[in-house]
Amino acid sequence: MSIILLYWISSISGQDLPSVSDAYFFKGAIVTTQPNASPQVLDILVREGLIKAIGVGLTPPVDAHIIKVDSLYIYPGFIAAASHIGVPKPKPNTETPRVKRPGYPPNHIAGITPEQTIEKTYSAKEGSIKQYRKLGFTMAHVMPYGKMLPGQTSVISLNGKDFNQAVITENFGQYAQLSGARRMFPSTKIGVIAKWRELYRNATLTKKHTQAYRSNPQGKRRPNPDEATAALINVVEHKQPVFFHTEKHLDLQRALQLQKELGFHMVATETMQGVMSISKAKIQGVPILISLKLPKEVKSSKDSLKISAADKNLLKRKQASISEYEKEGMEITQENQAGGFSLLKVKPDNIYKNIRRMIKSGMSDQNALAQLTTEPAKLLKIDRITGTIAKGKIANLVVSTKPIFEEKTKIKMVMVDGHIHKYETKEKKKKSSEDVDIAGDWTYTVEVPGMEVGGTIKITKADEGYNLAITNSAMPGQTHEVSNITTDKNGSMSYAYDINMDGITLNLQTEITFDKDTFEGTVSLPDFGTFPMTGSKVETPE
Amino acid sequence: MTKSIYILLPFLLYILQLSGQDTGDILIKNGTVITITDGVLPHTDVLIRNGKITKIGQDLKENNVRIIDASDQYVMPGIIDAHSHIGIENVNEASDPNTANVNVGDAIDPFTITIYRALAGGVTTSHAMHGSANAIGGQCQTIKHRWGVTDPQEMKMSGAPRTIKFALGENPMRVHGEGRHIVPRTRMGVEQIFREAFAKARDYTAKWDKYNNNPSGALEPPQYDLKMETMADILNGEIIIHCHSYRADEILMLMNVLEDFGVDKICFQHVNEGFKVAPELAAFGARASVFADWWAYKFEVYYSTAYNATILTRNGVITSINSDSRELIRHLYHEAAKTQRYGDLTDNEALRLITLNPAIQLGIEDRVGSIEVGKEGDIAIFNKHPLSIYAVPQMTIVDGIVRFDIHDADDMRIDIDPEEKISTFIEESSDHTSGDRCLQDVYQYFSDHK
Repeated sequence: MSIILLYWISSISGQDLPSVSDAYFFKGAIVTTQPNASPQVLDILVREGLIKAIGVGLTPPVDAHIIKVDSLYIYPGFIAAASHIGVPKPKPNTETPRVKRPGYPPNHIAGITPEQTIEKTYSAKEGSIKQYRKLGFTMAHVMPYGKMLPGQTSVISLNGKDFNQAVITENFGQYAQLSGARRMFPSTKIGVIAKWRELYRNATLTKKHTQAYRSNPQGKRRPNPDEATAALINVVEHKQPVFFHTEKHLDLQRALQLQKELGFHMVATETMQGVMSISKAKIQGVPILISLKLPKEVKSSKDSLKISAADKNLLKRKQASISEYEKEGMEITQENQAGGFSLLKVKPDNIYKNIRRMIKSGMSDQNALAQLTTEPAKLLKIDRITGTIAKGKIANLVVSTKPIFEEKTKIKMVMVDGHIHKYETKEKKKKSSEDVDIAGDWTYTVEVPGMEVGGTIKITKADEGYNLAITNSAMPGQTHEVSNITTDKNGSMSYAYDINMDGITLNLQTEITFDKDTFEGTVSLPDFGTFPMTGSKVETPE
Repeated sequence: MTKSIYILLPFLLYILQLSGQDTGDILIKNGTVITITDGVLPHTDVLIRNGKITKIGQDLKENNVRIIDASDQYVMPGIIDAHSHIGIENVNEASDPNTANVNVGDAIDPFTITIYRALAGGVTTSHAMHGSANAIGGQCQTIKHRWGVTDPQEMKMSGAPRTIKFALGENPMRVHGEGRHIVPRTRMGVEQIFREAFAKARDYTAKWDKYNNNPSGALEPPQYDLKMETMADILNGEIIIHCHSYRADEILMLMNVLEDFGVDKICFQHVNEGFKVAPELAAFGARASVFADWWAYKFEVYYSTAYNATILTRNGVITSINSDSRELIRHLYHEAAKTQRYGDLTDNEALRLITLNPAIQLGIEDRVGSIEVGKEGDIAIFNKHPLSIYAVPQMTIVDGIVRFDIHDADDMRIDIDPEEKISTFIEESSDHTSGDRCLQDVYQYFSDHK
């Protein structure tokens, strides 16, 4: 009985559950209310999901939960200016659907579905909601997956049981990419651009005819556009901006050219090389969402004597190029052309690391914070309800152990719509790989939405590091061997191996960090997503 | 301060570009000037001001210009390639036998190193073409090799006439007929693609005329169809057709089709059997752009001759020699010289094949293709006569700006992909045997039907 009681008590005090009172009093934290405000010690009162009061030496109401946050840092909840948060990644189609006339495929097969909405694909149980919330994100601008015109975007709160509870702004914009369909029109970028012109022109004609019909329907045919054309009328009428996925310079230039030609409202999205187009973007009024994905750092080789002078020069140019990508954050924010950070391509684990790389390359902390708060709030027209910590705004807060962009900072709490989520922030002991002996038998589980996959890993010492023998419940009877894997000084290891499922080869990229008898980390499948992985050592008698 | 200049630099550069095409001022001194239109002028100076040739003469003096000493060197107009696929990211939108709606000018890639390599062969202008997968391919783009610009729009030769790619024979038959079991499976089918498209374009134009001439607004606007818009523009004479072709019978076929629809602007490309129908081509006013001596890479290209360019020229067909390859484009002057071995063309006739004649075929002969006052400052400077096998290009100038200099640094790439594998090996050049650029972006269609 007492065990059950204990369990019950622990489950009420557990995270993510509704509390008896919805009032919270954050006492004495170092608060940065908005990017350009200097941090100061303040109290914050939250009630009914809103910020009720903020000030020095406030008196906590009797019913409020007092959250001890002295010496902790509080920031406005972060907003992802572009992301796929909350939308399950569709399984890649291995079979290309056959169409009779590849030059004229049905729109939905060719990746032209501007009528599609986030509501149809959103899932409150999607792992990414938790994952990004843990990183301080409280709201997200969500794009559907797809090809040329995947559908309309929505702004959601990272909270809520279903779409209706989560949604802040429905169908805010259109998401567009220069990605062609496979083996049918439009299969190339030139095809996509041609199709854009045609769709836009037909939407304009439909709009014109609809207006004429409304003013006098007599003797006119009833307007009867197809779904895609009808959906694009909002773009023609400038009611929806187009979030154009433009990672590289040339794609950005192509989208800007199309924008100039057709005149829709555009936001350059997931942009990694925006600097060369910044004046054009300014003239054409196109904000840029800076991609948080950066190219991998390339270190000069230790034994540089072995490389030829030519290869040394190539390496130097590559490093110079990487630093250009790192400077994008500084240059675009200084030109006031940024509308926030885009999270469509970055691995969640690299978000803070990459922001730090941009800061090291000249972007100010203040500008970095603005890209996570005020800038996306303005862009998404939600700056009256969020983006800063102020009375009357939604209670979206991030609590961290140190200033947010410092290397050792941990996120301790995230409040979304007045719901508090607490996270363990144990300082990991410094240890070398020598300190923990990870050899032995381990079991693991991977949380894939809708199913749980698990297996065992047998770790044995090898000449260099360890050898792994991995089994997976999804593929009984198969064992995958990975040799000579080492752990780094933080006790982390990463390895990859291929599995074969129904004739498709999948490359599983695993990154895990060991802590005594447990580990946690992630498994990434290119084109599928990243899933949390946890494991523990199997006790073996001495 | 220096930091802020650095930050502003891209912006300043952009302003420069906005204020018109980037042009330069150069005085080339004391060269042997091969004008193409006015003979060869020894010890002659050429002055370029704001990107245009303003003076040709001896002992020219000018302040505030870069002076290039061309003593003992040969100065010729920048070479023009009437058939290439460089500088574009997409070559084939192979999804339909008619893709007149697409335009390779929408996917220009000013960073591709092949542009710089072409400059190193004295080529200043090329015709970046859609591939030959479809009977009616996409629209093409005449580009100037302004190596160094980052804005793809800056690569376009603005004001150059619109052009479109057509293709006869095996390629469209293979991609659509064999590959997907749709028309065209045969050469007859290819003809029908043209006839149907032109006929439909007439209907389309009529529909729009009816709508536009009905001011009451009672009519529903017709569907806007970009394919038909382009076909209608061909019928209106606004677009020059450049047609991939080999066999004489098919060449005659297309001329018959065009005659039926009143279209007369046509340049046949490859046209390996052009020598069989040279008088007919001349009578139609069709142009021909050929290889010097390249054939037998597929069945329909076995009957051919290295005398093709000469026979066509002697029959009065305006003929050019093209590359269709990122390797041949580096030495088109060698390709032109072959016509002296096979056919005894004069120096001037041979050089016209890679200068003024391709300019005529692209409709830009009033701007480039010869060294004349008023023309654009596109110049190639060689250490020997360009038709000599020992000739090496020294410097290539576009709009009065030096875009290639033999003393350039080793690595002239502009945009470095930080994730690309780097290697000092030169990649193998592609040609018709090792991977047909003409059919780039097409292979996804074949993998489906083994």
